[in-house]
Amino acid sequence: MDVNDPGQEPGDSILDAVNEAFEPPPQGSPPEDEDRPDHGSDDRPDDERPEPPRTRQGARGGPATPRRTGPSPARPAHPRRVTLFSASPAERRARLEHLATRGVDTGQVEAVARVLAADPDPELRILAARTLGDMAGRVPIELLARALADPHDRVRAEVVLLIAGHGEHGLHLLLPLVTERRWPATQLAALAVVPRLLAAGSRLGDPQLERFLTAVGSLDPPPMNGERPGLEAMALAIGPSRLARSLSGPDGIRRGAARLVGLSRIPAALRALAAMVEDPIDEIRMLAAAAGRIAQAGGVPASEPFPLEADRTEAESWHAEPALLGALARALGDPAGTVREQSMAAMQGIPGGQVAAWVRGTLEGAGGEEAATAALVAGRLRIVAAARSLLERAAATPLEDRGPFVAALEELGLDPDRLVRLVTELDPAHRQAGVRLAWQVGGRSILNHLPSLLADSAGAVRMAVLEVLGASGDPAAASLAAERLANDSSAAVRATAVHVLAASDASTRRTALDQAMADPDPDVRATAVETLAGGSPDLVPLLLSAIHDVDRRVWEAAMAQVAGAPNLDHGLLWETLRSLQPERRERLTEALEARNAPLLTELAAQNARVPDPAERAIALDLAARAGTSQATSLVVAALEDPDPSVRRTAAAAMNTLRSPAAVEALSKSLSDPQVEVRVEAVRALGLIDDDAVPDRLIEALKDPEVRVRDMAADALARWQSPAVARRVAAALSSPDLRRAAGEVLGRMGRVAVDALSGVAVSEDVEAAGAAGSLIERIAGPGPFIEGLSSIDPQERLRCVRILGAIGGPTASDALLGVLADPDVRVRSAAAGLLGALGYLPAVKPLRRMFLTDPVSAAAVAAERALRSLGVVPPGGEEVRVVEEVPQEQPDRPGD
Amino acid sequence: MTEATAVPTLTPMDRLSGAPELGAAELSDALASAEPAVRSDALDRAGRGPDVLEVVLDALVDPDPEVRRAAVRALVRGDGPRATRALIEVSAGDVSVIVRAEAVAALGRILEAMPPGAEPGSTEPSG
Repeated sequence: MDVNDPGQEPGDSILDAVNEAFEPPPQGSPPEDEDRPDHGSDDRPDDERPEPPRTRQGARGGPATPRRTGPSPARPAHPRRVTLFSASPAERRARLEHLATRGVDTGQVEAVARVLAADPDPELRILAARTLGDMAGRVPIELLARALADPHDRVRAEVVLLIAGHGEHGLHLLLPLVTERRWPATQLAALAVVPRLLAAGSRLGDPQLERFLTAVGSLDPPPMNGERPGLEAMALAIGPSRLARSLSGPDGIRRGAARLVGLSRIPAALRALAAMVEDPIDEIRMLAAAAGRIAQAGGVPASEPFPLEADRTEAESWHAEPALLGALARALGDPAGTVREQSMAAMQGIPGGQVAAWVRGTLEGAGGEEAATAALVAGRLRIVAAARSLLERAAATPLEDRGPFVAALEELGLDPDRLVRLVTELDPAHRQAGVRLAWQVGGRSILNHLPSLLADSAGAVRMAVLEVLGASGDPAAASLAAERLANDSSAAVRATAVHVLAASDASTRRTALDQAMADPDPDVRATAVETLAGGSPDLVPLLLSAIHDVDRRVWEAAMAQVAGAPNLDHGLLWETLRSLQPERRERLTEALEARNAPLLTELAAQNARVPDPAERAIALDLAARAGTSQATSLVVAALEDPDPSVRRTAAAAMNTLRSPAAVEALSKSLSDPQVEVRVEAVRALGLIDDDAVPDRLIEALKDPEVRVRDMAADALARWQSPAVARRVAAALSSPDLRRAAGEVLGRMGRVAVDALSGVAVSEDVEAAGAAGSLIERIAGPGPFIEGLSSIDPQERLRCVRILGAIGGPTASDALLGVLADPDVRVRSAAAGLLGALGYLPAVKPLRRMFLTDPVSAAAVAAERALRSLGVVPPGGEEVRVVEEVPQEQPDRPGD
Repeated sequence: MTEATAVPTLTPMDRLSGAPELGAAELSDALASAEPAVRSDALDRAGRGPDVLEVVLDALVDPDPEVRRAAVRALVRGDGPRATRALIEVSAGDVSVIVRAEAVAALGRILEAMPPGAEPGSTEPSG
């Protein structure tokens, strides 16, 4: 069955479904759940019963038990359960909401599906569909197929989601809905789920694909913005090869395939479409030209030569309506054909003027649901007098809610002239949307009547007309747009005209670009640059001129287009680069780097040796941006350019290139007589990760120019490497470098402590002193005082020496404690250092050491220290008797 | 009245001959019957007036659709806006197709009989 067959009565289908799905249960089998359809209740219309029993017991042949327990004077005493099939909508809703909250189990699916199929309240049918969501796969597909004929769009949309739960088995039902505009919510739902089914592996057979493409090709107007994402996803799911093959099919299939390729922009299919510039169908030729431009530009151009979306407006406020007509109107949307027929018959019995007045009043004043009902009446009864109200209401309604009004307008079958005249009668605020609605309802038939609206006083209306003309691919669109571009008072309209002209041939676009570049409004100029020039090498000279435009938007757009243009003329481009101010030259270079990096190397190579030093410097800038090995060679060579400004630019360019290959050349530049060259060379060296660099930078610490020294110090300090720190620390032994190296090491911080410790224990007294001072500043004596507690005598000895290099009261106090160290070398070294430091509080401990230390070397060290402190050892040498320990040798500085 | 059978089922001949209308108390008793046919026939003979209307309105939630359908027919004969509002509710909310169809037809008849500009329910339709 074709569920979308307009001749099919939806209600009939639903009733059939119920009849088929809910045969009476076998005798004596009570319902397992109260929400099972209660076939024994006879709560069904005549045509649903196997036979119409007047007495339940007689009909069933069961015991004649009365249903009531006793009479009641006020109301029937039949106990009623709250079930999904209660006569009261409120009770049914309560029960369904309960199930929706709790979730349905397998045994309840049938009952809830019956609500979906037959409940008179659309909100309950929607709720039933949502309640079934997780169990969609258990709802019989045949029942869902019939539920797709529901008179309410939102119910159908919910059913679409349920059918999607059947996967591939539901595809044949969903596919026709993808292009079914009369039911917009349903269509949107189908557009969302069908691509997912295809992507998940469901496959379209060839006949299905052909029907689908024919339907897409038949869309009039062509795919609109709301439909595009879904159709694009469909195209991607179908795949480029099948689409490309379909481009050779009959007219309808070919047009549908071309539209999908244009939307999806899959490169392989675009190429096939681009070859169809001779197709007999105007629209396909237009799409082919656009595809060619996209393919040539290697991407998606900023211009969008496809239909533009209508604006959305807010719905009008809500008002009441005459209750009786409203009730009859709502009954037109009843799921049962019998009720709808009854309603239609009743409506036709009422004087036409009365109904028309109600329809107009409701459309103009009532809320969304009631207005939609009035639209249904207008469409079914063909109340042409309501056309203007319908259009006004549709124009004021958000896109996704316009379905009932658009459907009613279509049912009225207005001739195009009248449709366009109605647009002119709309409130100015709605005329723009009215134009798009007229296009949606009338399709191509209105195109010949639209140009009259280009005289409308509202710019938005003229824009809408141009957009529709552009989307239609009508041959007259280009000339009308060109006329608007030249003469319209509104910049927005002129910009829209530019968009329309973007779909024209190269010659027309050239003329339009010329015209637009003389436009006083920068938006028009920028739009023209972005949309008209894409992929056309012939238009590059105009774009190069636009780079000099006073407005930033224009020249930036022009640069982007130039950078993406194929086969650029090098001479013209160089002339432009040369003539630009530095900021714009920088931006153009960036644009070229992003889109066409090899071109930068070519331009640099061609101009690196021109006579003018300024041009050679520009060439070096380009080379630095290019970053290729050839470009690097150009820059390295330029480090020896006779012109200092070029050498400086070359050195600065190395900041960008950072090539190890340039270390030697940059090292030479450290001897350049020009300070600026040396500064840039040091800066560049500091950015190159090469082991040879630190030594060069340390050498630069001796440069007479403070900026060079500072730059070298900065670079070395940034290195933050122990290995580099050792090299710099070694420079402390050089009197010329000591101060600068010390500053660098101080900035390096803790990473330099190990390197400084090595110097602190060296024989070079000056260097050791400098290292000690730096260690004190960076780490303080604390770590080395702690080291005196090490069980390793070598480590204690090292710490003693470093503390000696640090000096000062804290370090000296710590050394006093070491005079009793068990290792003679350690205590001897400490004694010597205390003497060298001139630390007078050490006299007494040293005397004690001299008198009591059992090892002669230690006593000797103590004696020397005492003498350094200006104190004669107590009792002279004859008093002191010590053992000889020839192997022990005291360390500096006490020896 | 203690037994529903006190109100006998009407034959078509009975209707043509104009069986007597039932008041509120008789109607209530009849609606307490276990037999749907008794209940619906009683509604077909329902009289007029506010008391009767109350009983008829109660019958709109009868479990049997034929009985509710009869209640709808009785409402068309009823008085004023209250009956009309009830018909409107039934036309959109009753679970049975035959009841909704009956209500819609009733609303159409009310509208047909209504002079232009009159408030819904303010005119007594011909029943």
